[in-house]
This record gives sequence, C-alpha cells and structure tokens, in this order.
Amino acid sequence: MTQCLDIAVIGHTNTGKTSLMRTLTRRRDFGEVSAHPATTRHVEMAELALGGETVLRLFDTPGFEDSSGLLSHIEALKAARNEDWIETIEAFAATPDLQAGFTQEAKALGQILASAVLLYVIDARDPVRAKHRDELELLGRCARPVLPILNFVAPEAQQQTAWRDQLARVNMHAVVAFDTVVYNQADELTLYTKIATLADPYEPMLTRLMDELAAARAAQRRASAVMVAELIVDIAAARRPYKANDDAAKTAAAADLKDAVRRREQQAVTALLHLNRFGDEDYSPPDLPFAGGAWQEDLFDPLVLERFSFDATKALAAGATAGLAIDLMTGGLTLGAAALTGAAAGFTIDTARRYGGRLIALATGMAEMAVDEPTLNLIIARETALTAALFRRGHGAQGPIAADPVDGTGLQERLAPLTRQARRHPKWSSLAANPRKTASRVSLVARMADTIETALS
Amino acid sequence: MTRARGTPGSLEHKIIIRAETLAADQRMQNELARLWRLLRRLSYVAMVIAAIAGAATARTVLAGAAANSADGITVNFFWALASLLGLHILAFVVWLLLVILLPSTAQGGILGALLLWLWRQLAARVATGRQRAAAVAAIVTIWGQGRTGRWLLSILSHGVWAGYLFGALAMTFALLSAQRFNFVWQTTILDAGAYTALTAGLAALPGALGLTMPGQTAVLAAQWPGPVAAGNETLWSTLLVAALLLYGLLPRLLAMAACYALARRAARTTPLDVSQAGYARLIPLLAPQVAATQVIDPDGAATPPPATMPDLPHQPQPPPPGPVYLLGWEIDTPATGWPPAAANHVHDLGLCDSRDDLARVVSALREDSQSPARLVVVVDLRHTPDRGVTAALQALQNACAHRVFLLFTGAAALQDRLGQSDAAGRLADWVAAGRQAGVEPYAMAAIDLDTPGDEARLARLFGP
Repeated sequence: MTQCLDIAVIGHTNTGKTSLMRTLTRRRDFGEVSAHPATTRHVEMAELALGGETVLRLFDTPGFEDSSGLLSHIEALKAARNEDWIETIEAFAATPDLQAGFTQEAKALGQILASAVLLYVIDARDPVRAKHRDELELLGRCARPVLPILNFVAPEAQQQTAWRDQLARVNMHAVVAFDTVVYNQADELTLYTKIATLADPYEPMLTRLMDELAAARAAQRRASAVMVAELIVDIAAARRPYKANDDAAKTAAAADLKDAVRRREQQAVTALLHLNRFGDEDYSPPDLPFAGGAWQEDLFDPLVLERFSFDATKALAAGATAGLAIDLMTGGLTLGAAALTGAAAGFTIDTARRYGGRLIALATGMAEMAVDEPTLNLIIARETALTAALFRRGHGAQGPIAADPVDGTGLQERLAPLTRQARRHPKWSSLAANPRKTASRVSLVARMADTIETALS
Repeated sequence: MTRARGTPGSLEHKIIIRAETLAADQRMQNELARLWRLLRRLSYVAMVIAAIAGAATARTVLAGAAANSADGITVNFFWALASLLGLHILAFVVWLLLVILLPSTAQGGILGALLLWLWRQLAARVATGRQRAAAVAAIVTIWGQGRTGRWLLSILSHGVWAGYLFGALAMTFALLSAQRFNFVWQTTILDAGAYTALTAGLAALPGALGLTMPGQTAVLAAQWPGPVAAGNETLWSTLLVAALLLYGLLPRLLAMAACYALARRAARTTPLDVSQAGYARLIPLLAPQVAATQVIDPDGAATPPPATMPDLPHQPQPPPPGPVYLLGWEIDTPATGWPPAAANHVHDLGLCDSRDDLARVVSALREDSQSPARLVVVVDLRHTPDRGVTAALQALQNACAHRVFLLFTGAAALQDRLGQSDAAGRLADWVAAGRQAGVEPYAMAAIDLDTPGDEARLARLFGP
C-alpha cells in the first residue's frame, strides 16, 4: 500500500495555477480559468491513480492577493498570541474570526499546511515584486518543501533570471520551468523528478507514474499517427463513379466526393482531438479547397501497365503453383490440366478483382472521380500539423489551436509511394460502398504511420 | 469502463478487461459462430477431396497401368513409394524450412492460404450487414496475419495433407488386401547396393518398432527383370504401409498438433495492437492517470460579477488648486523615462511596490502641510489587479483626501500578451479595482507611457 502524496498548487492570483492542474491532469475542463483575478475561489482536488490506486492528490487553491497585507496581519497575530509561526498560521487558517478579509488566503494556507509538497506557480513574465517576496517569506514560515514553477516561459522569458536569483535568495534552488500552455514532455518529467527529490519516500511511486505517463504518451503518439495514416488511405483510395461526358453527373460526383472527404477529415479531427483529450471547440478545419480537378489513374499509363503485368505474373504463378500441387497430388492424373486451369483462374480472378470493375466501367462509358494530388497533400499537411500542435498543447491552453500546415517538411514526398499504393485499391477506402480491410492495407497503414511518427518527432 | 480503468496493468490489459465486461453482442456472436462453421465445413470438404485424391493416386500408382496377370501386378516399389510420398515430403520440408528460416514472412502453406481465400470468397457472398462484415474482418485478422495466423493456416495445410495421405493409405491397404502385387525394382545406372542402402534406411524406423522388414536378400531377390523370388511380398507390403504411416501421415499429424500448440501460445502472447483506431479511442478513457476531481472547501461568497467597462473620459475634470503628486505603483521604469516629461513640475514620489515604501509615501503625504490637489498613481495593466492593489490605493486615498487619479500604462504590451478581448477585460478589472478603492471614473485614464504621443492628455492629467 503506497501512501498518497498530497501536493498543493499555490501562487499569486492569476499566475496559472488552475492551468497547471489542467495540464498535469490532462483535463481541460478542470476548474475555471480566465484572465481575471481570483477566478478560483475554493480548493479543488484532482486525484491521479496508478493501477486503480490513488497515489497523488493535487490541490488547486485560491491565489494570494494581498500578500503584504496578509504577512502584516499574521505578524500582528503572532505578536498578539505570542506563538511561533506555524502555530499562528494554523490558528489563522482554522479560525474564521482571525481571518479579517483574508478568507481566500486562509484557504490556501490551510491546504499548504495539509500538503507534503508545494508547487509555487510563478508567471515568469512578471517581474519580482515586494508582494512576491512577502509570499515567499510566508511560505518559508510554513515549513513545507516548495518547488517553484516558472509558468509562461515559452513566449517571452525576460524575467526568468530575476526570478531564479530571487528564489535562490530564499533558498529555493530547485526551480522548474514548466509552461502550462506549451506542453513539453521533458519538462513534465523534470517536474516529477524534482518533486521526488523533495518527497523522498514517494520516489518509487513517482518513478512508476513517470513511466506510465511516458508509456501513455507513446501510445497516444502512435495512435495519432495511425489515425492520420488511416485518413490518408481512405482519402487517397476514395472513388466516385460518374457517367463520362456528362458534366452534370461529373459535378455531382465531385460534390459527393468532396462531401465524403470533408466528413471523413472532420471525423479524423474529432478523433485526434479526443484522443489527445481536447474538445471539438479547440479546432475546426478550414474548408477544403477542392478544385474538382480529379486524379485519374490512366489504365494505359506505363506505370500502371508495368504494375499490371507484375500483378498478372504473380497471379499466374500463384494459380499455377496451386494447380501444380493438385496435379502432383493426383499423381499426374490431371495431366497438368490443373496447373493450367489454376494459372488461368489465378490470372483471371486477380485481374478481374483489380481491374475488372474499372474495365467494365470504361466499356459502359463510366468514369471515376478521385481526390486530386494537391488536395490530398493539403490534407496530409493539415492533419500532421494538427497532430504536432496537439502534442505541443498543454491542457491549460485557452486559445484556439494554431495548426497552420507547414510546407517543406518533405513528408508528402516520403509518403508519395505509399499513397500511390493506396490509390490503386479503391476498396481500401472506408468511403467505398463495400470497403475491404485486407492484411496489405493494414501493413500499408502501419508503414505510413511509421513515416508520420518519424516526421513528427 | 470503471472496472477496466481501475484495473492495474497495461492499457492492453485494460482494453481486454473492458471487452470482457461489455455485454456480448449476441448477433455478433451468432455471426462469428456461423462463419466459424463455414470455415470448419470448408476444411472438412477440402480434407475429403484430398482423401479422394490420395486414394486415386494410390490406385493409379499401384494398379493403374499394369496388367493384372496371373502372377499378380508387378509394381516398381520405390517408384510407387516416391509417387505417393514424394510431393508430401517436398512440401513438408519446404514448409519446415520457411517456418524456421523466414519466420516473419512465412505463411501457413499454400493449401491453407488457398482454403482461407476460398472461405473469404464464400463469406463475401453470404456477407450482409455490419455484424457480418465485422465478423469476417475479425476472422481474417486472426487467420491472415501474424504468428497466430501462420500456425492456424499451417494446421489447415497439414490437415489437407493428412487427408490426402489417409486416402492413399486406405486405398493402398485395400489394394494390398484384395490384390496380389509383385514388388520389384529396376535400374539403369545404379547398382544393387544403392537400393540395399535405401531399403535399410527406410526400414530402420519400422524395424525399430518391431516390424519385420525386407533385408539384403529380399532386396537382391526383387531386382527385375530376373528370377523374382516369391514370398517377400508381405515384407514389402509391410514396408509400404509403414512408410506411408510413419513418413506420411504421422509427421503431418504431429505437425498439426505442434501447430495447434504454437497457435495457442501465439494467441496468448500476441500483443493487442493498441494503436488501431478503434482502440485508440479508448486510450484517454482508460489512461492510468484518470483524475477524479472534487471541490473541497467551497467558497461561501458569491463570485463577484465581472467588472464592466465604464466609459473612460479622455479629459478628467479640472483639478482643485494645490500640489500634484506622482507615484508609480508596481511598475518598471517606462520606456519614455521617469517621471514623464509632462510631469516635470509635479512632486515625484518615485516607483515603489512594498509595504515599507507605502508607509513612507503615506506619511510623506500626511506630513505635507498643503492638501494635495491630486495624487496620480501609475499602474501597469500587465499586472492583475488584486486586493493588495486595492488596499494600497485605499491607503493612498486616505492619505490625500480621496484625490487619487489612476493612470493605466502598458496597454500595448498587454494586448500583445493577452489579445484584444482579454486586454479589454483586464482594463475593466482595473477600473473595477479603482472604483472599489473609491477612485471616480473621471479620475482614471489609460495612457501608455511606453510609447510617446499622448503628451496633451498627460499634460491635462498633471494639470498646469
């Protein structure tokens, strides 16, 4: 039975305490976050469980507001009651009559005394002020290990050195830079490692927690890459037939395809957001500039013919081998007829399966609409950019996700041979009327996901 | 879900627990059962066909072409044995080599793959509806991929071959029972020694099992054409049946059993691919660090309504006579310098942020014999207005006969940091804090001291 480690998240008002809670718990709906002061006015707890057992409790507290006034008030109390600091603070936190307008601070102090470790959240964009120094003095009187967290270090970090100097002066040398908006896994691990140094008996538990966090993160990465790969296969392989030389039918087919592709993309976006524990409102993909320019596999394209003859040879060989086995099994009774039949059947079945529908379509004057290359590449760029943005986003982040596709990552080029393969199998698309999930499709998706995962890291 | 989440262990384990806990979908179960039946029946049919083929082969080999003379049928023993067992041994060795040497790519033999393909075609014909398609996909995933699939397909292959060999064995036995055979051998380039050695090799295993096998004399006696000695047929028949049994049927059955065990083990140890889209959906729900949250120590007082933004007059009313004081509270030196050029004539109390500073300023104000006309307090919009600010402003109000004016600086920097709407909200918060400290709306102005250009308004604020 591991003991549960209680950690209080404290700090001046509006420094991002609740944002830190959100990012650490991956719960973007935890508490309430705003740019106004005193948004959190109560103590709120979040439990972290390992194997069904609560191992860590994080307490979000109201921020300090009138820190200098509070310090004066407690100093006066201490002098009046003739007690030591801890006794005075305990009495202050427990007795509403002694709180004199400092009820927010009293709640925070009460939680501080009940916790084993304190995370002191600092908005690193703010300079060190007297009120902060007073807070640090008061924290020093509480006799609890404090780990200062420098929040908002990602955009502008001018005040970091001043903060580190000031913290060193009050003997806080272990400082963690952890941005609640721009998530960084290494920073999170550093945070837990430093907590472990402050709370020695909990070290094995924290190590396990870090391991599970890392494993969950890895699973999430892989699953995200697979989701994007599935989307690419579905869209690259999508087809819509229409009657050739009929412009109205062509327009309708294009509209239908565009609609299906857009819905599929939205579905992937929702799945990606949910997988990474964000909500639909965090991001909505811009409209698809679907030019209507269709990608068409020319049946007489040299590449296709080469592929076709390769397929045909393979099918022929497979059929012949099966036939040969039957010939030999029957001791030559069939005089090689089985081998011949097998070869012919293998060739015919395989050809019909791969190209038959389209040959028939050609003969009956039907054509097929597919998603053109620029649109496909745009979707690839967009969804990989979104995935990358989600990996970097802390759950304390408020604004919408900025996921502008970046050119020049070379990902499209690396994926091109794989998307071409997907193009050749219309039935691999989940947008097809009768989709088929074959082993080759699974392996293609896995290879695509490998490429995407490499590009994302 | 709750049970799965609370279960210790890996994500994979939790997914399995969840799958087991979910109420089983009866239609899906029925569908799976039907498709399993289809696959099983198809395998039986294939085995029966193979058995017929085996029997036909045995008949062709033993009694096919030769005339039935009075002395019985003369059969080239080794040729017949090679015809019956050759392909089987070749296929078996190839399978064994593939499984050992190329374990990652080897499939379960061409016959197994053919059967699965046939089954898929049939399943596709009968497939309708979601359950059916999902059930087909489930079975194909198990049989067509990975280690489990390889061993399962191998069982099918071995099963078909076992059928074939059983058919051959049965027909051989029937023919041996009903007809008289003269087993002979002949050669153009080999000598008798080679056949003696071959026979000894073949006979080693049956002999070890206690069966009487043809010895050297029997081999020499069976060379054809020549004076074929009668009386050795039983020996040769025993060898034929024993070879079919020990080198044919038995290895296939053993391989089947081994593949069955390997498939069981593979199924037990194959990891679930948790990156598949369907499972990925569950990752956040089953994640180990699920946060249960709870409000403790709730706040009794109602949350104050958000501050509304009053209309800031550009020009505060004309000041009463008296000295004008200037104080920067919790600000850094502005980019345009301190004090502002427009405030050169006023009493500068400097920049301060501590309670000692505040006490010093308050006593300075109180000690001034003249009642101040106004005290302009410069604050930074980038700071969140807290109760500490309100308390300081109140102390200053008391010290200067409630003539505090508030100047908000840093608007441009704030907008860069928070964006337009939150920046407007922050200004409103400051105005509310000012009101709470008793500062009148006309006595507040937002002028950015970091950027020059608002000197006229500044001059009006600081008075003549």
